[in-house]
Amino acid sequence: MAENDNDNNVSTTGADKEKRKQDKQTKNQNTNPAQKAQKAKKQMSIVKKFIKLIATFPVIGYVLIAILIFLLCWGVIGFFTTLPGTYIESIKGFGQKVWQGLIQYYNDNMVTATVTEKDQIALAQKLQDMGYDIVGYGFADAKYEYDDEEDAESLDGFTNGKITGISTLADNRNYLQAYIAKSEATYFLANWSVAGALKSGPAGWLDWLFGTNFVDDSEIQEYSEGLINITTLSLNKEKYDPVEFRELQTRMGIQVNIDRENKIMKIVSFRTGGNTPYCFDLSNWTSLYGKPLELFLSLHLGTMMPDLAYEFATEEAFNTKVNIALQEVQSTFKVIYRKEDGTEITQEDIQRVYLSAICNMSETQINNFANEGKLDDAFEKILSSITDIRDDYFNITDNGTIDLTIPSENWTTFLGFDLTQVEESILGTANSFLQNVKIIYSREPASDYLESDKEVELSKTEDFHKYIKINDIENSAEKQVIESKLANTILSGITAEQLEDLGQLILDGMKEENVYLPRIESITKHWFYNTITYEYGTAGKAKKKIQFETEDEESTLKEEDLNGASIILDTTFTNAGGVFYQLAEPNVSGPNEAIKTLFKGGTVTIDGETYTFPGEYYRYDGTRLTAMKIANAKAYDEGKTSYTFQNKLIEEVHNPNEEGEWEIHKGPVTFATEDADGNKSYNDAFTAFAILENVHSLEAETVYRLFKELVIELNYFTREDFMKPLTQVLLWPVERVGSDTEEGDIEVDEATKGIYKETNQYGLFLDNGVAVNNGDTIIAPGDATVTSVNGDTITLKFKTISDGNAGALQEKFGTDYFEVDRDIVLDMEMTISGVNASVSAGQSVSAGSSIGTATSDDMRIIMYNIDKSIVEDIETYMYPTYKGTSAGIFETIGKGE
Amino acid sequence: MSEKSKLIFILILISILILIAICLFVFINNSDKTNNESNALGNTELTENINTNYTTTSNEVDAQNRDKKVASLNEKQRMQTYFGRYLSYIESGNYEEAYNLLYDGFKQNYFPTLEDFESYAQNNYPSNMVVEYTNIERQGTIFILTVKIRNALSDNTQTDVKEQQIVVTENNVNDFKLSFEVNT
Repeated sequence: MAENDNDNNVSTTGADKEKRKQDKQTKNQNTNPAQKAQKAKKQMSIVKKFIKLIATFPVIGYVLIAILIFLLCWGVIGFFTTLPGTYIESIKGFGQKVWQGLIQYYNDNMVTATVTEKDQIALAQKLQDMGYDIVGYGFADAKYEYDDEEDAESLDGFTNGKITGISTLADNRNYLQAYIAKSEATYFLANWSVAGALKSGPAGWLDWLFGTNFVDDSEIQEYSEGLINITTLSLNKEKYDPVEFRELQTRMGIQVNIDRENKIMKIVSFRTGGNTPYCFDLSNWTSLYGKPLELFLSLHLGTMMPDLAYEFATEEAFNTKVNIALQEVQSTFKVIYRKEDGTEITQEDIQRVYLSAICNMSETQINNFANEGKLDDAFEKILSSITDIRDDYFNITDNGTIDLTIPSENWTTFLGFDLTQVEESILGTANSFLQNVKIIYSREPASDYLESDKEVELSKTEDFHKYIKINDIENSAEKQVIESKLANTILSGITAEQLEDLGQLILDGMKEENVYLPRIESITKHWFYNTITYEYGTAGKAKKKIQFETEDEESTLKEEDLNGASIILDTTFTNAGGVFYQLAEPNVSGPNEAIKTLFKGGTVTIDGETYTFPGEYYRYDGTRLTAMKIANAKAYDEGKTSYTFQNKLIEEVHNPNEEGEWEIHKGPVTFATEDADGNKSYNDAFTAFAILENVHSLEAETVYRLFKELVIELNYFTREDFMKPLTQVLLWPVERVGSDTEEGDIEVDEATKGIYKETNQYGLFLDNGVAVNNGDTIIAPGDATVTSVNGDTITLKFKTISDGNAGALQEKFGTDYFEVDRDIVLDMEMTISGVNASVSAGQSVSAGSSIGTATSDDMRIIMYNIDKSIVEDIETYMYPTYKGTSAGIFETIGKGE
Repeated sequence: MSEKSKLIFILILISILILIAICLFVFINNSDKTNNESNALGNTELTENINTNYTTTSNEVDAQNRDKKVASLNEKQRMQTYFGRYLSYIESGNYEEAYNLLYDGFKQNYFPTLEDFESYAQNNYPSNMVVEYTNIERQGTIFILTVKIRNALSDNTQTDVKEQQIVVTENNVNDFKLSFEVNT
């Protein structure tokens, strides 16, 4: 009963839950067959009613069906149109990528694949803005976005349209894409491809199919688009089996990357456990052998024959390869800290500051090592010896006491090192022993003959090691000490962390690291030269100063942290078999037969490969009428029955060989344009050449010079046609640039990187620390009179060019220019700021003589015409000169050991 | 000599001849290469260090060439050159030379003494000048230049600068007088 009572008192909550649970169960449990049947019957009745309704009024049914079909179609259409970006375009894009990837794997047209339609449109627009109708001049077919003016579309589109799309004109040749790709190829690596393997002949097929090693990978790579062909890895002058190179790359972790934006080749070796890339500047090196975009445009517009330029761009005969071998060498370096004003602080000075500021060493202690030439060894030893040391060790003095019996749990420790041990290790003898130190090293209990609680102190007196406590950067107070010490040194301005990182960098430089040095072995299929082969000797050592840059986010030595300073690694390379260095400029000859045959037509065999060029091409004249005739003619040549022109499909193809409005013929290559009277003019060609000539880069200048030689050799022009007045009659005022002086030289390409212009300021600026350094000798650019000296500003007024200088200029520039105009700069003035003058107003100076030294500020050069108006383009009269690669990439020390 | 020995002798002789032929071929081939053009970079070496021992031209030669150069200019260029020369004198502190280029009447009215002119020049012209020529008019034998004179070493070339008018009269090449709008 009591239980029942208890039941009655049970909370109803549980009962409700139970009940709800039971209800569910009940519901399920109640779905018995009979009830199911009844439900079904009920549902069927609804359907039957509906059917009955439709049967009664069939129109309703038709309407409903129509609505259903409409909704279905709408859904499908909506799916495919409303969400294209998400699905269809993605699928399409993915499919294109897969296809491109396959093509790249097969053909290695890696470079062409990177040229987007946007790039092509940008180039087309640039040409149009220069006044060239891209349709009339045979570049491409175009779609335009017209202005909002009335009848805009009916106007001549290329004068008022913004190009929104381009397509191939007349055939499948994409000229703009080809020109851009082949110029960009200068900064691409050549890669292995299936097509290359197949082109290599049966041996290549076997290699591809069965993984055999009959054909050198570098030979297969020659068929790809990239200019830079990494060939074999040379170790100790013995070449590895070339086909093992790829395995070697994997095993040794060598990775070669091209940074196209900065024109740098990075070679990274992971073998040493680090990932230190060595960077090699490609500008003024391998890029001298590429083909700039302006060359193609000059050829296209100079001849008005796009197919000639296209063959020049794409034919295998001109698929230039710069074949680069890598040599494994061992490198060490010393660190040089170059301040913003150009002052260089040597590694020894950095070490002294470090040992003083962080390691608390006195000058005497440091000199003990330095005077014996062992500072590097000591530095390494000290930094590796730093450990936690009990603080009472640091306080020991001569005749002092040290109690070794203090238990370790009572110690306080700080970072420090044993100076005495370092001295003994490095110098063989120590100067820093502490004299007569009482060392308490044991306490023994009393013997049986003494009172038991009396302890005997055991000690000895002897020399003791000197320990030095360092300033720990992790301790803010000690870090302050470091920085206050730094403020009074030559490294003032850097932080404690930077000093520490510099120290670590110095240690890194002491460790020998494997590096892979690139060298050009040969240039093949150059568009102008026959195959060029470089010759190398070997030296026991080679040295090079390399700019230090780090990609380590944790480092305090990143460029942006250095406040205008820079870190140079004075690197030494060694190799048991010798380090390769270039012996001399290679012998070259040109123009080669391939380029001559391209222009003249015919068949030529080079290095076992045969090439045939027609020598005759269709010629555009800038009008769309001719462009259309050529489109028709090409369609006829290919046996087509229709073609597209100006986005319209034209379904009638006329015979271009028949007399009439569609007549047009291919012709031999020419640069002349004829007027209605048959008078020939070359003005258009020279205008086109100016596209290349006006690119102020060493690569473009080199290519332009070769191009001139080619067209002169082929008798399209004479040398006199290209001669013009010499304007570059002034010397670059920074003596060290491009010259071997006692202070060393600033490489020309480095100097040009430091030249800049400021918006809203007159003149050229030279970045101090890059294009000029504090204390550099500044020379007079030409014969002049010093008109004024105001503070750090010198003004010169130029005189007539003297006989001697005119002779020197003529000899240097030779047949490229007319005889020097002696008065070309007479009475023109130049103001140079940032110079501590060594001349005074009224003084005459001759070209090349010293007028002062550079200050620590950026230098500024302003040039005036004789009417005191500004000379906008000082580069016309002077620019850093180029010395050539005769100095080689390395300076050598001694010969092979 | 036995047949065998003869055969060996002949074989050795042939081998030697072949070796000689190969050596000659290699020698001739290398000789050809050295005859090719040198310098991979063509004629890219430009002037670097003109001999600093050359003597500069004399002032007399410069003066002759100056006359020739100015004479080859058109009118507008000559007038601008004259004004440029006037400013150059001021920049170099040759106030007397600049003063002598002014009309006598103009001098009497505005700068009776050289010191007056020197004071005006020091207060009104920057130490390093650049000129922007905005207009030139000819009225008979008189040319009127409209110019803006700026400080060449300024940090902002777009600073608004007042236009000035310069009047130039040419008697002959390099024989001219000028006057200008005086700042009051």
